[in-house]
Amino acid sequence: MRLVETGNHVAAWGARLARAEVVSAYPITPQTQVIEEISRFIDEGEMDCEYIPVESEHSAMAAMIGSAAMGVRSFSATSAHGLLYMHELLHWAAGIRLPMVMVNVNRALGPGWNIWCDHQDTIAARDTGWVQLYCASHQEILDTTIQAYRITEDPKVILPVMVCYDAIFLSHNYMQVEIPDQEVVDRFLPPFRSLWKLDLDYPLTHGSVIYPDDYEEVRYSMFQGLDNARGAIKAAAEEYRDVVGNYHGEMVETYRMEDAESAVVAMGSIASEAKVAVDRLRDAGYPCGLVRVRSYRPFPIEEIRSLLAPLRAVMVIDRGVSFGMEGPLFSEVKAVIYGRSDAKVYDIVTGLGGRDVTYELICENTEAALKGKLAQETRWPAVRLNEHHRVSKQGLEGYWKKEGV
Amino acid sequence: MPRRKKNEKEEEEIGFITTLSVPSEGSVGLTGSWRVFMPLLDEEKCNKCLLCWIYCPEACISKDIKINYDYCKGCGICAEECPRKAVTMIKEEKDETG
Amino acid sequence: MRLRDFPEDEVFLQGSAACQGCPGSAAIRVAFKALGRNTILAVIASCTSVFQSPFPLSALDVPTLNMAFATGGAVASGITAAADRLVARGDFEEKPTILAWAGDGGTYDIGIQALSGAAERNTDFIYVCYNNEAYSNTGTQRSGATPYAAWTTNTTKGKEEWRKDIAQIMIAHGVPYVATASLAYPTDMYRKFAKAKEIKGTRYIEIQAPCPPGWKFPSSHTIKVARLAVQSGMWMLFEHEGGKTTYSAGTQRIIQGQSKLVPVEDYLQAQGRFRHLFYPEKDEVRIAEIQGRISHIFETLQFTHKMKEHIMDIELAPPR
Repeated sequence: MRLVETGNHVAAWGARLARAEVVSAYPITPQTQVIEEISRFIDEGEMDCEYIPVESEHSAMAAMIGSAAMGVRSFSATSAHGLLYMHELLHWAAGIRLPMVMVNVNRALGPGWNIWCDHQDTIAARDTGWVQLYCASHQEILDTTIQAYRITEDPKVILPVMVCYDAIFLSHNYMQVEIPDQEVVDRFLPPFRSLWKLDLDYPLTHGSVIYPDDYEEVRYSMFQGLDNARGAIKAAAEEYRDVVGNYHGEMVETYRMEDAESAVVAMGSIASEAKVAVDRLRDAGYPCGLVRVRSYRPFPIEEIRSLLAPLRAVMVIDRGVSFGMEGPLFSEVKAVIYGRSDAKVYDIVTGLGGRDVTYELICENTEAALKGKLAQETRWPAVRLNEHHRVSKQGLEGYWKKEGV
Repeated sequence: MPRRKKNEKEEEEIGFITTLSVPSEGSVGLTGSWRVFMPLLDEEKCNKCLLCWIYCPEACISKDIKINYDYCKGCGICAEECPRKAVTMIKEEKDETG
Repeated sequence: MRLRDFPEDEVFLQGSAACQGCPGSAAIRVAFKALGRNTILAVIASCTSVFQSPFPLSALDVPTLNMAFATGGAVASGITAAADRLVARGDFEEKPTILAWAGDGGTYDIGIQALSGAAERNTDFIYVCYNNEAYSNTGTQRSGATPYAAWTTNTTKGKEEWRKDIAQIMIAHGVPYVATASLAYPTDMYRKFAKAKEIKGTRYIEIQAPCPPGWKFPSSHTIKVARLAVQSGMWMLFEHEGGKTTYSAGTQRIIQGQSKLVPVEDYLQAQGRFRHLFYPEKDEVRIAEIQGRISHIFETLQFTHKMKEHIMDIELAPPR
């Protein structure tokens, strides 16, 4: 079935086709359409599911942990402040070693209420033990949400999966998607499986006090689980291609990398714009390619290393920042090729709070880098003081004058 | 993948571990060793009213009023609450050498 | 139900990490005698997280999920939703009882939002607050449940505020069952759990849990202090259903005039946490304040009881 839908509605279709049986979620712009659509599916009898309209995101994740612990396939959706509010339980959800899937609409953080896209929210949740997959199209949101259940329920993984997609660009814009038949999805995704649950006939206790002599092994097991997710992500992508027919890459998606001497690295919807930039750069005589990071956690260590280490130069685009350091994707790309490459690595932080990232900006900066005009550091090429900033500053200066600051 | 190869042996040994605990008596050992005073039951006086049984916070007194000294921590609630004063707390002589 | 009819089966296994004289483990024992083994337990960060014993053994012989502090109502919502699915699928013949077990910090303070949300959704579960009137697990700091004038490690001269009446807050949510219980009245507590088990929707039971190290009394006095709390009116036993509050056990006897209210001084003096009200000199003002509040409540209740007995059967506000 072919539909023209918003990314949010498509994510709801993903949960429906995956046969999620418990959904617990709290509304937050720009995620709300996901839960509205799921509610509609349930009300109209199209989805056999318990929806828990919790009173906060902290509770959304707590409820999802509870339902997953009972051995039932669980789903949630959130964004930005919601993701931060459940942060404690993101760690708990990973530590409990149960399968679950949540979509997160990547949105900027306050203050300054900004409902538009950047990646700061999920970057802040990077080290929680979740798999993080970033989508670049509506079709990919649908397919990745279904694949996410295969990954999270893989016995070698059993860690939660977060499917990330960009606010507004993907969440609210309409695009054409192919909705696969339920029978086809059922062939790809077997019924829920897990490695333990709250079992009345075999009572176990989860998560009491654990001493230093025992704790580290538990964390190491999580570390390995996330390592194992590499294989599970690849297997899910390949099998999905075979059974359902769609394919969006595995740990990374590449574009014109075959003969590339330089590359742009990006995540999410920016990658579409970067494809245009790559074409333009090639027209201008630079054999450039694109590496889109689909899986940020686990990080595509081998892929990035083999694709980027032989190159002359790499331009990273970060849609988030590690304050006091640099762009996080930049740090990680460098870390992965460290000691194995002569490539010069550059970084721009841009597109924060939904600011448009144009192919011109990408071309300009990449070209300057390739000409050796830039330092190998994080730059903010789109930052300009405008009239609004000046008005605000004048207001503040008035206050400083009154206070004698 | 050199980084993971180094850990291959450990991977085999570690596998899936999460913080699951197994129900068991004596989950922190023989808690009778915590005791300073021990309860002694005078069976002559006891009319099996069951108050000590239900009040015991450690479930150490069986319903037929037998005290399990392996686990009794010596809190003294049974002696305090016994309406017939059938339980008395006496200082326990312990072999300090263990 | 008489004591001799209580089931012998123990869900709480001896040899746990609980302190000597622990009111928490004592409460778990009575609760599970009434609820039975077809129960799924969520333990919210509290002393119970610790006294169930550390990894890899557990003193709790039921499926147990330990959860973060602010999650009581929420995790139970997830468990109960999943249980509904499993019943619908036919995996469960009978829906198990879902029990969230939290302390007063996890209920009055950090957990009130999740609890309120679950209650508003009338989530099908039993929420227990075992109330030891402080953050005992972290070394006895004040909580919203700490009574006026009580010493804690961060109210060294006695708490200046009165405790929150959370049972009334739960009643205001319109949930089908709210009850309070005392360790000193096990048959009353058992009856309330057994009744709660048969009700659908959110059921809230609060058990006062006198804590020997936190309240500073000998471990043998846990039950004695619990009894004094009821006899002095500092802890009231009641249940609320169908829009009606009914007082029970020791509290009911005082209201009906079968026993006299014990002076609150007797209760306060039994605990080191109120020592500053008596040494170096007696703090008549604060003791009178506490006694005054209790006396006022009981005089009102006794008057209402007499009115009902002698004049007419007053129906209270209809259920919402």
